Parts: sequence; structure tokens; C-alpha cells
Amino acid sequence: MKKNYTSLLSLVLLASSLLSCSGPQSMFPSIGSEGDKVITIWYILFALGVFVFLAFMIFLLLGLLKKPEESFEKKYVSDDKKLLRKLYGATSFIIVVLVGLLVSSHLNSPRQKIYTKPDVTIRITGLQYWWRIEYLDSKDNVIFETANELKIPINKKIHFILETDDVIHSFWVPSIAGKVDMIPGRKNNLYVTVDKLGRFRGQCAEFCGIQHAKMSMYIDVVSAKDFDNYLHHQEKDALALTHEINNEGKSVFNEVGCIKCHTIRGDWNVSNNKNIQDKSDQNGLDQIRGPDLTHLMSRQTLAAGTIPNTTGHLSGWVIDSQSPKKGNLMPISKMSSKDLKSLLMFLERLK
Amino acid sequence: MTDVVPKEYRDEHKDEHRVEHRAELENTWAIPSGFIGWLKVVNQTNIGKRYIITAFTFFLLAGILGILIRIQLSAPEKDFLSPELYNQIFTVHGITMMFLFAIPILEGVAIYLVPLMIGTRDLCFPRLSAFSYFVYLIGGLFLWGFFLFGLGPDAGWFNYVPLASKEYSQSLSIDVYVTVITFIEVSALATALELIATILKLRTSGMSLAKMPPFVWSILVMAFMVVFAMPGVIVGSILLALDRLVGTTFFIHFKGGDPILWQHLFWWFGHPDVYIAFIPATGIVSTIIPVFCGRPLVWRKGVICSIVLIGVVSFGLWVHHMFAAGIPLHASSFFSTASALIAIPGAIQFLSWITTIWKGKVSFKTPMLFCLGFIATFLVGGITGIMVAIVPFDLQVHDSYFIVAHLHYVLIGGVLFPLTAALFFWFPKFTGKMMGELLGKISFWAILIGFNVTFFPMHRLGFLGMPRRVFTYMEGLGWDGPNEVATIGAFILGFGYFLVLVNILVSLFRGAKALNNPWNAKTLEWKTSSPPPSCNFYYFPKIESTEEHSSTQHKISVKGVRSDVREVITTTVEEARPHGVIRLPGPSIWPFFTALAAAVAFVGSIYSPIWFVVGFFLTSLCVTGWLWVPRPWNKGGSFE
Repeated sequence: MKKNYTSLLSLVLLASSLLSCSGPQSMFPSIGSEGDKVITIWYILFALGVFVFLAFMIFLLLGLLKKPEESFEKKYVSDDKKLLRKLYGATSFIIVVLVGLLVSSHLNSPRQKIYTKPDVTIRITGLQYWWRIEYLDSKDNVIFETANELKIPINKKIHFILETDDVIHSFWVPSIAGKVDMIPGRKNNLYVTVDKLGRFRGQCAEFCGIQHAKMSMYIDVVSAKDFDNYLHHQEKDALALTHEINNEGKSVFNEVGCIKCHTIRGDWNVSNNKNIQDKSDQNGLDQIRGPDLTHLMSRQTLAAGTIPNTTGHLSGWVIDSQSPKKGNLMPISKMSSKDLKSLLMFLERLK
Repeated sequence: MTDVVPKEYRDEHKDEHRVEHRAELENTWAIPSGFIGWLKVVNQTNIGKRYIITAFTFFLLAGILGILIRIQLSAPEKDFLSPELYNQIFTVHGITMMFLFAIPILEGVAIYLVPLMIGTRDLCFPRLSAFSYFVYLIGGLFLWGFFLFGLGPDAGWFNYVPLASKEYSQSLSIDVYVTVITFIEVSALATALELIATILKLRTSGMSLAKMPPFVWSILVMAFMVVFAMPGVIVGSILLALDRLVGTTFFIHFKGGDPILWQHLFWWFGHPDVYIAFIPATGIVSTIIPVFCGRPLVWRKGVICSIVLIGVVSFGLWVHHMFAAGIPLHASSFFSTASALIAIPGAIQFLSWITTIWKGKVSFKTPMLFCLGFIATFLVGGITGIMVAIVPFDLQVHDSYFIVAHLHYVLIGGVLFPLTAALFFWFPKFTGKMMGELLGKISFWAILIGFNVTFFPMHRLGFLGMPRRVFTYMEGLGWDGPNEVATIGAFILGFGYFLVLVNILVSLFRGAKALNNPWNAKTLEWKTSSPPPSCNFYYFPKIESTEEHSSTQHKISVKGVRSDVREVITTTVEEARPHGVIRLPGPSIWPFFTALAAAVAFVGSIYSPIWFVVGFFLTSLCVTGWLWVPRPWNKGGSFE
């Protein structure tokens, strides 16, 4: 009896999950100026589609169910004119509807509004398999850099500059706007205004390699005040926020090699960074730029939305980044448990 | 033979009805036996069957890959397949379905049926068809061989650069893609040229273009489309091969190349490719529906015009695969309009089929059921097709599971259903046995239900934001339910095709014997025996009516075509008035060797460019053997 009950329950759950139409990464409900247009278009297309489908199916079913005409074989040596005229009529009707649809869709053209003076400019660079996020000032200088999670203010004009440093990616946060590809050597733009607070998920939409599936991002839409606080906080160097410097953790960070790819803004590591830079230049290697860790703890997820940013997951990620996300560019780091502990203490201060 | 020929003609054409004449013809056109003989065969019925069997095998293999994909995606964060393997599997699934199944099986059906439908004895370049089959077989085997050894291509069937460039894909797998694809396309091009020449020049007397069956029309249009579309992908993959093998920079942006160029070249081919598969499928439907409605196709001219129109317009919409790449507004308007306008010729065909059903008396045999299933499911695919032609909507659903749903509705509904109908319909002609009707109906319902259960929920997944080509997904995104349902559907669909396979095997050995014309169909292939004799027809029939090709008594059009050598008549392009006789070459081992030599060139260049040079000279050598004219005083100057 109990078994029946649970299976029934799971069936109901399944059915409701099939019918409900929203999720953290859903097109519905749309919150952006771009997404809104699509919803309207979708309702029109859906109604039209259902109508066309039903019309043809009813026509077909009636044809299948009706009694065959007597002596039909004799009647049709060639098509009769009357029938053909009806078919011409039907075809003309379809042409008119279709052309109408096209003309109206082009007249209400979903031309993107271009904001020449946006309130916020954010450059997002797609990389195998994460997103570099840079907030720019009005002269396109980088104010600060972060990764995979960003905040945008509500009801402000936002300009996303979309680029890539390696292969083609596609920027897609369904609740906000449709896709824009990130193509090597090109700069694509997306202009949006959003009108609802909340946390929204996005994901890379162009196949970009082994971990294409685990390249997601979160956008928080916040009030103007919260946004100012966010900017103010992120602009600062990490150590300005910590009173006590964990020297042990810092040296592990340098020795294990985290510093080769990851930046933590602040005076303390400038010289180190420079050394590494010189070395890699001598070797003729491109320096790999991993996510900026200055405010690591202000992000809720790790590895482009793959795992939650908790101490346990963070330590697992540091030691063995390959098992949660095989094929990503972060190498496996070997260190003693004491080193790991102090490294984690250090990282957890990067608020 | 049971042909009934009026007495006055029989007297006039006594020679053509002598028993010895028939025996001699069969002997002249005989198919060599033995293993070496198998490699030498050039007869079109045999090559056609090979194409169909090989392509069907690839279809089953790729179908199994599809089921593996569905198992992996049945629940969030499953680790049934590793990400590397998943990426190879979805890539090989796509490549196999498009390059090794859809196009080749339709070409196979065309190679088999076209000469029968137009009343001739073979294709006009028999050795070329043998060559193209071997090229296709070798290419397919190489692709799957590399895949089974873990070197399957893993950048998607669309293989976008720079992901597929040397910098981001160091392993040989992408080299396998570019060379094998180029190689296989050579075979498609050869077949297309051959079909065009055959259809235009070898039609039997009286079968003017206006009287040609819609299926042959669709094959003619398909062949022309292949000729225009395939060079795009061949050029693209050769440029990519050069980028990868000898360090050119066609697609490398920081050295002056452009990755978007690849997308244009690929979709120039890739979009028409869908219609290359779809057009012959509509030809099949336009052939089968009238047969099971017991009346001619309504608005035949409209159907033929739409076939031609689709062929033309389909070259104007490749950019709709790239709307998200940042295409200028005017360009996207143009391609958006073209994409939507293709619905008009589509609708004309739908009107014609449904009206034919209205005006006829439907008998619900399995082939007809699959055609009805085609109408319903393809309609859904067509409607979502118009939706994705609207740019802002496309930007949302592009590369999401909505597209996965759309493309499977178009390709399974629009191509696979008609092909399955064709299997049940022409199986008697191919083998002389009928397929099991009850099992056929059960498999139809399993396939129809399984298909919709698999792919309908994917529309929703697209709205919920699930991108394509992901090997897994997180919990809590609302994707679990639809994915679970889709996986259940995939098993039902797979079971349906398992039943089809069982049906084929059982019918082959135990099927009821088929009559010459079991369906009372009107096209010419039903006039000859089932399966046809090696020479297809003992004489060249004269076609007088537009519809009734098989049911009327034929006059014999031409007298005195030799039966001791492989001779066929040629006719004028439009009116099909006889104006000459050509002698076709007989069995030869050289097409096989040429295919091998070309394989050395293409597959060898995966490892080193030097093999291309070696293969080039080997191929030239083999072509010399192929074209060698034997001394005319031996065997009456024939090519044997």
C-alpha cells in the first residue's frame, strides 16, 4: 500500500514538473527588455502553430474517416478544375498569412536598442570553461575583475561586451536575453535593462569542449544601492579587508603555484607576479590567466557554477580539481594536509 | 515474363520476345558470383541494395549511440559515460546519421529504383556507382574504426573552429573527421552526377519530363542540390585539413583567418543537406500515398513545382544557423524571410497529399501508416521550423533542446518515417518477399509513440534553458522530469526499430512470395518481376500516359538493341524521343582498386601529407586500368 502511495506521489511530482514552466534557467518568466519581446512573439507563434496543426490534422482526419466516393476511379483521370481552384485558394491563403507574419515581425522589428551611454558596462570573456567578468568605466578601463558571478542593478541600462580568449562560446542567460556568440577576434554587444530582482542562471550555449556542460554563471539583479555597495567592495584589494595576514597560507599559495594563474589584487604579490611573468616570457609561454581570486569568498559557487563554495568543496577543488570537472585547465596540486589547511585559511579570508 | 503485349506488336517485335533473347540478355547483364565477383559487380540493383543495407546498418549503430546518450541524460549528474566519450558519441551519432545514413540510403534507394522507374537497364556510369559505393563503405568503416579505438571526432558534426583547430584539438580525431568527411562526400558527388545524367538521358521512350514520376523528380532535384551543396563542405574540410596538417591559417583569426568562414562553408552545405534528405522523402510519400488511396496524386504539377522550389530556396537560408554570431540586421532579415517562405512549397505538398486522401479510398497498410505518421510529425517539425526562422525567438531557443526536438521532428518525422514506409513498400520488389503486416503495424505504433515521447518533452527542456551537447546537467533546474520521460521514449522507439529489423529478417526467410505488383501501383518498377531480372527489362517500353506506367500494355519503343552486349537507349532530355544507343561497361575490379587508392590518399593524409601524393599516383594508375579499352577484335568490342 505504502509502495503504491509513493509511486503515485512520484507520478504526481513528475507530472507537475512536466507542466510547471519556470526554473532558474528558464525563458519564462522573462525579466529583461530583450526577453520580453520574445515572450510576446512566442504567444503569437504558439497560437498560430496550434491553429495550423489542428487545421491540417482535422482536415486529414476528416479525409480518413469519411466514406469514400463511389466510382472515384472513373471520376479522376485528371484533376478536376474545381478542386484545383480550391487548392489554389488554400495556397494563396497560406501565402497571405505567412507574408503577413513576416511583414509584421519585421515592422515590429526586434532591433536591439543600442545604449550609447550605458549606466554599467561589463566585459565578459568566455574561456574554456569559465567566464571572466570585468567591470569597465566610461573610458573602457577595467575597474575590477571577477569570475562566473556578477551583479547588475535593476532598471539601469547595461551594456555587455562579449568576447572570447580561446574557442567560440555563447552567452545565454535565458531570463534576460537570447544568445550572443563570443567569437575570436570579434566583439559582440548586448544591451539590456532588467526589471526584476533575483538570482538567475546562465550557461554556455555553444559547444566549447569537454566541459561545455559545466560552464555556467549566475547573475544577481540587485537594487541600485546594493549595486553601489557591491562595486565599492569589489574595487578594493583583498588585503584591505583583512586585518591579519596569514603568511603561511600566502607562501603556500606562491609555492604550490596557484599564483602562476590566479591574481589576488594587493601590494603583497606584485613582485612575485612579475617574476613569474618574466619567466614565462622567457620560456615563450602564454601566461594562463585563471579566475581572479581577490574576493573569492563573495562568490557562492566554484568552477563556473559547478560546486557550492563551501570549505569542504573548496579544499576538494584545490587538491583535485579534475574529479568534479574533468579536463578543466586547473592542475591537480599536491600538498601536505598542513599546507592545505593554511592555504584554505588564507583563501577564506578573501572576502 | 508475364507481360502481355498486343499481337500486332508482338509480331513486329518477334525478336524481343524470344526465350533465347531473354536468356541471352540475362546472361549479358549477369551479376558475377564469388568473392572476387562481389568486388566486380556494377549492376545498379546490386549496388543499390548494398547502399541500403550498409546505410541501414550504420543507422542501427547510430541509433544505439542515441540510446546511450539518452541513458546518460536520464538523470542529473549521471556518470554512465565520461565527458570525453559522450562528446565523441554525440558527434559520431550526428555524423553517422547525416553522412552515413540519411544521404547514402536515399542515394541507394535512388540507385535501385530510378533505372527501374524510368525503364532502363542500368545507370549510365555503372563503374562509377561501384566506385562510389566502395568509397562510402571504406569511409564509413574508417570513421567507425577510429571511433571504436577511441579516436572518434569530438567537436560536433558541425566541427566549429577554433575548437577543431590544431591549437585546441591536438589528437588525430579531428583529422579523421576532415579527411573521412571529404572522402565520403566524393562518393555522394559521384552518385549525384550519375543520377542526373541517367535521369536526363536514359529515360525510356515517351517518358517526357512531364510524365516522369514525382519520386524521380525529387531525386533529380536532390542530385542537383548535392552538386551545389557538397563542394561547400569539401572546400571547408580541405581548408581545415590544410590548417591542421601543413599550417595554413584560413580559420585562425590572429593570423588573418576567420572562424566564421568555416560556419558559412559548413552551413552552405549543412542546411541544404537537410533538404537533400527531405526532398527524396517527399518523393517517396508522393509515390506511396496515391497507391494506397487508389487514385492519382492530386495537383501533381504543384507537387513537382514545390520540389523544385524547395531545392532552390533551401540555398538561401544557411545563415539561420548563425543568427547568434552577430549577423547584420539586413542579412538576418533576408535569411529569416527565406527560412519562413520555404513553408509555402511545403504547404502545397501537404495540401496535395491530404486532398489525395480525401478524394481516394484509403487502405491502411503499413507503408500508408508511416506516411500518415510522417504527415503528423513532420507538420510539428515544420511549424517549429517557422518559429525558429523568426530571429528574436531563434536567439532564445538556438542551440537549446528546443532545436534538438525540432531537428528530430524534421529528420525522423520527415525522413525516417518515409524511409520506413519505403522499406515496407519496396521490400517486395527488392527481395520478392512480402513483409509481415501485423508486425509492421505494431512496429509503427511503437515507433510513433516512442518518437513523440522521446522528443516532445525536449521542446520544454529548451524553454527551461537546457543547452544542447551537454554531457550532464545539475539538479534543481527543472530538467529531470522531461529528460526521464525522453529516455523512456527512446527505449520504446528503439524497440520499434528492433521489431522492424526482426520483420526484415523473418520476411527474408519466411515471407510470403511477392507478386510483380502486390500494391497495384502505377510506376514502372512494378511492371518487371520481383526481384527484377539482372537486365531489369527485356525490352524498352513506350510510355504514353502520365500516371499509368505499369498497368497498361506497353508497346515496344525501339527495336534491335543488342542483347549480347550491355546496350541501352538514350533519349532526348525533354520529350524522351529515342535518339541513340550507348554501350555500358561490364563488371570490373578497377573501381574497387580506385576506391582503395583514393582511401590511401585521404586516410593516409591523416598521418602525413606524403600519402596524398602516393594515393594520387595510385589513383591515376587505377583509373587507367578502369578506362582501359580491350582489343576490339576480342568479344565483339565489348567492354568486358
